[in-house]
Amino acid sequence: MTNHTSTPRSQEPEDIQKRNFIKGLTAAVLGFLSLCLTWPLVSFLVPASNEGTGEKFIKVPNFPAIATGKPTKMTFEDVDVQAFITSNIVYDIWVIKHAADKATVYSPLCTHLNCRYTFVNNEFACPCHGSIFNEDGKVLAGPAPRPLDTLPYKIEGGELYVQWKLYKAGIPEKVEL
Amino acid sequence: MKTPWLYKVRDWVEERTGLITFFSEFLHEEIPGGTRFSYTLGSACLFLLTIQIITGIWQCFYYVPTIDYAYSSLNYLRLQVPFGWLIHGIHYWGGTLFTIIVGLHVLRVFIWGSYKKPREMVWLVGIVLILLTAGFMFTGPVLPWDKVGYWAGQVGIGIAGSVPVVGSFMQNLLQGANKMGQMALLRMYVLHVAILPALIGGFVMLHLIAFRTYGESGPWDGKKRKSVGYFWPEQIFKDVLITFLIFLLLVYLSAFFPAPFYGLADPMDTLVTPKPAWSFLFLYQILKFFPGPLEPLGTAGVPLMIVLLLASLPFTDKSPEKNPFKRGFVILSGFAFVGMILYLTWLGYIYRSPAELAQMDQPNRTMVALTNKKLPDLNLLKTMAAANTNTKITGEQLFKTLGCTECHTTTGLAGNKQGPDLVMAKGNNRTHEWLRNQIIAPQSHNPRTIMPPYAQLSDQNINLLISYLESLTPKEIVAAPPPPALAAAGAPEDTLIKYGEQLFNAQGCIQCHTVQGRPSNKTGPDLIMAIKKDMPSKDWLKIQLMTPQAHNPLSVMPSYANRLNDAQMNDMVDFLSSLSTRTPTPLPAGVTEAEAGSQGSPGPVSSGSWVRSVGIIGDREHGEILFHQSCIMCHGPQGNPKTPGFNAPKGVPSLNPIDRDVFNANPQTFVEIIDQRLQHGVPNTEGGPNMPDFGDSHALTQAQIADLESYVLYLNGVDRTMILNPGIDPKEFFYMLLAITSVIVMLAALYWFLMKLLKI
Repeated sequence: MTNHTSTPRSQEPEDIQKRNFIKGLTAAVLGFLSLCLTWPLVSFLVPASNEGTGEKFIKVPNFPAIATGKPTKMTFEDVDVQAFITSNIVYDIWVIKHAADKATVYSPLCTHLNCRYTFVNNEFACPCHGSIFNEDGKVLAGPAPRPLDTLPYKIEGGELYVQWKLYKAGIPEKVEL
Repeated sequence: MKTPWLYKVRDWVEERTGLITFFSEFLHEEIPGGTRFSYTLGSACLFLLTIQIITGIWQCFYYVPTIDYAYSSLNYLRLQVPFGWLIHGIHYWGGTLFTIIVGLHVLRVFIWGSYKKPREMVWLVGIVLILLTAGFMFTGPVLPWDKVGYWAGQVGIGIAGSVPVVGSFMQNLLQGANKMGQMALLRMYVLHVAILPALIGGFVMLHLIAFRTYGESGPWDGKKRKSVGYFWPEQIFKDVLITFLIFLLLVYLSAFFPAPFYGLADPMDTLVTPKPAWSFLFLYQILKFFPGPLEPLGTAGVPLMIVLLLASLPFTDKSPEKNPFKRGFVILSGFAFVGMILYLTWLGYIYRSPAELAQMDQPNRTMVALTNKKLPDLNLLKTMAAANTNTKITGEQLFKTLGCTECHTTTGLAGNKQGPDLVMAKGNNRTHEWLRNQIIAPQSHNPRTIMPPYAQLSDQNINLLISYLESLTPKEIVAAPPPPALAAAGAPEDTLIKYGEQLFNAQGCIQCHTVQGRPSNKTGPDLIMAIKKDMPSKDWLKIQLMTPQAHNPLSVMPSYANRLNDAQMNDMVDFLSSLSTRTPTPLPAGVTEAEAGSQGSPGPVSSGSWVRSVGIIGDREHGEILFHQSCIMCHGPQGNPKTPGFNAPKGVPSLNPIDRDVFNANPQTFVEIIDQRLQHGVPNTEGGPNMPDFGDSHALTQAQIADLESYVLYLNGVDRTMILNPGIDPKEFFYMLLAITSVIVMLAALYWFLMKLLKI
C-alpha cells in the first residue's frame, strides 16, 4: 500500500463543509437507489392474492351408483394451476348417501392433526393417535378436539358436487384455512 | 457522544476483526491528479455485476431450467409477478450494458496506459474477467429457451465443437447429450448461476486487490499527477452518480424496450437464422472467412490469438511512456482492433441466411406478411393473364404465384403441409375434368376440404395449371435401395422387416396411418389394429400397395407401384404383416383409454409434462407467417374472410374482428378460448370446411399454435405480452423515479447555492 493517507487533508472550514455536503448527497443518492431496488425486490417475492379459486363445486363421479346409508370413500379430480404449471389433483372424501338428493360429505382428514382416517367396524378410526368418530362425525374417543369436518356440497340432477376445503387442525372450532 | 453504545459496538467489532481499519484504509485512498468521471467505469462494472447477481438470484425464485417450462416460467415471471418486468429487464439490459461498459473500461485503461508496470497483474486478471463475461453472455441467452436463445446456444456449442482436437470433448461437455436439449439447458444454467458467478466473484476480488496495491495510475502527465484527490467522498460521489444514472437507464430500457418474446424454441423451425448472442457476432462473422478445412483457424485460432494479443500487451509494450499521443503505433493498432470488432459485429448483425432471404423473396408469404397485401395477388394474375400468353406465364409459375405451394409439395415425398403432395397424388390417376373441378370447387369432391375454391381463374389459367399438374413426374425414390448383400436372400428376416419399417417412414405412410394399436384421427386406419383384425395375406397387402383402388374403389391412398422396386415392396409387405404380432404402444401417462379416443376422437398424445400452447407467450410476427401458411385460405387476409376479392368458403368465421363471445380483453383468457379451437378443431355446421385440429393432429407444434394465437390476439387489438401484474406500471415507475431524482437534484442545488452564497 503506497498511496494511502500520506497527505493530510485540508481542514479549512469551507473544505470540510464541501466534503460533508458531498458525503450527504452521496448517502442520499445511495439511499434512494437502495429504496428503488428494495421495493421491487420485496414485492417480487410476495405473490398476488389468490384469484378467486375458492367457491368452486367439483363433480364427484359415481354418486348415483353408491350404496345408501354406508360411508363410501370417493375421489374427484380438479385442475390445479400454480403459476406456470397446471396439474391434476385427486381429492378424496368420505360420503354417506342418505337419499338420492341428500348426503353427508366429510373431509378425509382427522380434526386432531390432519391424519387420514379409515372406516372400520362402523366407526371412523384415525391411525395416528387413535381418535374414533361415529358415522355422524361425533368424537367417541381419542384426542380429536371436534367432530369430523363436513364439506359444502350440492346435488344437482342426481350428481354430487363438492367444494374442497381445509380446516385448521387441533382446535375445537372449525376454522377454514 | 449521542450514542455511545453504538461506538462501543463499533470498537468491539474493530478490536476483533479490524474491519473498520480495513474499510477506512479502503476509503481513504489518494487519487493522483484528482478524481475523474472517467475513473468511474470500473465502479460502474462493479455496480452492474452486483445488480446482475441480485436480479439473477431473484429470477431463480421463479425460473425453472427445464425445456418444457423454462420459457413459460420466465414469461410468468415477466408478466404476472409484481415487478417481474423490472427484475428481468434490469438483468437483460444489465448484461448488455455490462459488456459495453467492460469494453469501455478496457479501452480507458488501454488509452491511459494503465496496464503498464507495475499493474500487469491487474490487466491479466482483467482479461480473465473478460473471458468470464463472455461465458455469461454465452450461457445467459440460452436460458429462456426461446427461438433465438436456442439457436444462439446451438451455434455456440457448434463452434466449441469445431475446435481441433478437443472439439468433440468440449461439445459433449457443454451439451451433456448427443444433441441440444434438456442436458444442454441444465449445463448452461449451472454455469450461469453457479460456476461462473463463483469464478467472477473470486477474480473481481483479485482484480481489486491487485489494483489497490498500486492504486490509480492517474494522468499520464507527471505534473498533473502531483495534485491529489480522494476516493472518499469525492471519487465515490462521482461513482455513485454514474451508478445511479446507469440504474435510471436500466429502468428506462426495461420500461420502454422490454426484452422481446421470441416464442418457444422450436428446432423444426427453419425461419430463424441461427445466430449467437450479439456479443459473439464478430466471432460468428470471422468464421465466414475460414471456409472448410480452415474453419478451426476461425473457431479456435482467432479467439486464442485475441486473448494472447491482449495478454501480451503489457509485456510487448514495455516503455514506461503513458501519454497516448506518444504511443501512436500502439494506440492506432488498438483502435483498428476495436473498429474491426465493431464492424464485424455490425456485419454479423445484419446478416440473413439464404434460406431466410428466400423466404422473404417468396411473393406469397413474407411479402404479404411484411406489406400486409392480400393473398394471392389476383390483380397481378389478371394483369399477367390479360397481357396474354406472350408473357409465357407457365403453369408452374401460376402454381407458385397462387400460393398452391403453401399447402402442397411437388417433391414426391410426404411433406408436412396441409394438402397432399401432388406428385404422390398422381398415383390416383385423376382425369382432366376431375382436376378442373378440384381447382374450381374443391368442396364438390370433399365437402370438408379446407382447400379454397379458385373459381375466379380464367379457363386459360386453369388449363395451364392442369397441364403443369399432369406434367409432374415422380422423382427418384428417396430411400436408398437395400444393400445388395442384404437383399440377396440370406439376410435375416428381422433385418428386412426393419428395412421395411425405414421405408414405411421414408415414404410418408405415417402421414395417413398410425402404428400404435389405437384409433387415431388420421385419414387412414391404424395399421396395427387393421392388420390384427383382418390378418391380410402378403399378397393382399401387395395389391393394396400397388392398386389400393382394387380393394376399395373410393380409397384415397396413392399407388406405390412406381415408387417401390420389387425388393422394397417385399420388405414393406414383410414389415406390415409383422405388425400382427406387435403390441400397442403404451398410452402416455395420465391419458385414459377413453380419452385416447375410441369414438375416433383424437387422443391428447402430448399431455402429461409437455407444456401446452396456452402457457406459452407466442411470437406474433412468427404467427403471422404461420397464418399465411395454414389459415389464410379459409379465414382470409388478416383473418377477415370478407376482404374484397377473397372468396371465403362457407361457414368460416371472421377472426378480425372475432366474434364478441370469443373476444376477451384479458390475453390469457382470450388465448384459452381460441386455443380449444386450434387444438381440437371445430365442425363446420354450414357444410364448409371444418376447422382442422391443428394440435391433436400435430399439424402444428404447441409453440407454433402459441405464435398463431398471439397473432390472432394482435388482429383483435389484444397484446399477448401484456403485463398482467406489473406491481407498478413500467412507464409510471420510470417517471416517478425521474421525478424524485429531480427533486433530490433541486434540493441539493438549492443547498449548495445557499451554502456558497450565504455561507451558512
